[in-house]
Amino acid sequence: MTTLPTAPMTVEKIPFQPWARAVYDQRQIDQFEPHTRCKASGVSRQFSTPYGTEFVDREKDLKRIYILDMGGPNSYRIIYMDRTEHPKNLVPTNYGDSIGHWEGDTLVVETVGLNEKFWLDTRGTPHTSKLKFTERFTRVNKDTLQYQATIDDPGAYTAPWTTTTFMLRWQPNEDPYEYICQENNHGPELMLGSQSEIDNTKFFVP
Amino acid sequence: MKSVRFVLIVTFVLAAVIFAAAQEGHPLTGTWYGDFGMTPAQRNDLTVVMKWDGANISGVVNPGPGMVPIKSAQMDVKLGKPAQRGARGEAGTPATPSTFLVHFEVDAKNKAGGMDHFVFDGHIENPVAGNRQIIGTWTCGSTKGDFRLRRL
Repeated sequence: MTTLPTAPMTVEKIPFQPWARAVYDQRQIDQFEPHTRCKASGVSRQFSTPYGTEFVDREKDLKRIYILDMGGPNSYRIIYMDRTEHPKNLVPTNYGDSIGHWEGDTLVVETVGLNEKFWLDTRGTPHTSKLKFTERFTRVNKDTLQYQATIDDPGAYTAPWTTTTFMLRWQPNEDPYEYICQENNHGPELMLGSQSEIDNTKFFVP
Repeated sequence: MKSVRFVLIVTFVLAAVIFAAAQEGHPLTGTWYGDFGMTPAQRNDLTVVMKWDGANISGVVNPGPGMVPIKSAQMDVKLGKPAQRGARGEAGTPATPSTFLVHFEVDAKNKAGGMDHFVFDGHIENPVAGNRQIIGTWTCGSTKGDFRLRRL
């Protein structure tokens, strides 16, 4: 699947805390995104993973839905469909603990237990470990999932906010294939860039 | 052969520390290590652990038996401006980076048994990079100097 926003959301509408806005702005200059260093994408960033993502629905037997990344460290997310509460004392991870339920034809997924080792999207939207991330997936036609997320993170924002809707497009006749992020990774070069827009005077830390 | 093994093990441990420490949330959250002193030759180790709870920064200095809590801490940002492209998409005005100013205060017991009040003021360099640093100055009464902390 590939991701297409239905309409761009202006940064000014996001209720950043001041530090979060400054971090966001700085990331437009210093593009040190962890994903380009082969780190797991992390919740919504998963749908911008290069070469797509795949949903594997095992709700009927395992009571779980899996979302697999392609162009990353071959990580995946598990959505537990048979739980209504998160475990206590979660160890924070890039994908946290996801529980899902159906509201009509919409799959609603709530994720907590997220660490602070990834960006929410390729633009560099920051978050903290206080994040509660709620996603809504609606299949609007055979080939398209409508996607929207609500960010509730009092550590980084002054209020919960909801993204614009995105369309996740089914790519027919394509299967996941073996992808080794660590081989021939040009991420560091891309981040250091052309010297015209990205400040390459900073040290690169893997 | 033993020395090669030692180097490999040390390298692995250092790499593991760097990887484990990657942190993309609040820029101050985490453990910082460096030194402070009155002159370049007279330095003292300084370790600062800070945590952001969504509204306040708390933490300790030099964790361990002699640990002291941070009395107050804050980070103020002066927002910069994003780069502006020209009308035809060519490079225009370059970005002005935001400034991340850091202030924290500590009360520590001195050798005479009294309390010293330290005030640290600095800024974060490379604020969204893994190897960010806080660089600045400190005062304690009429004594003053500089400090430098690197995010571990």
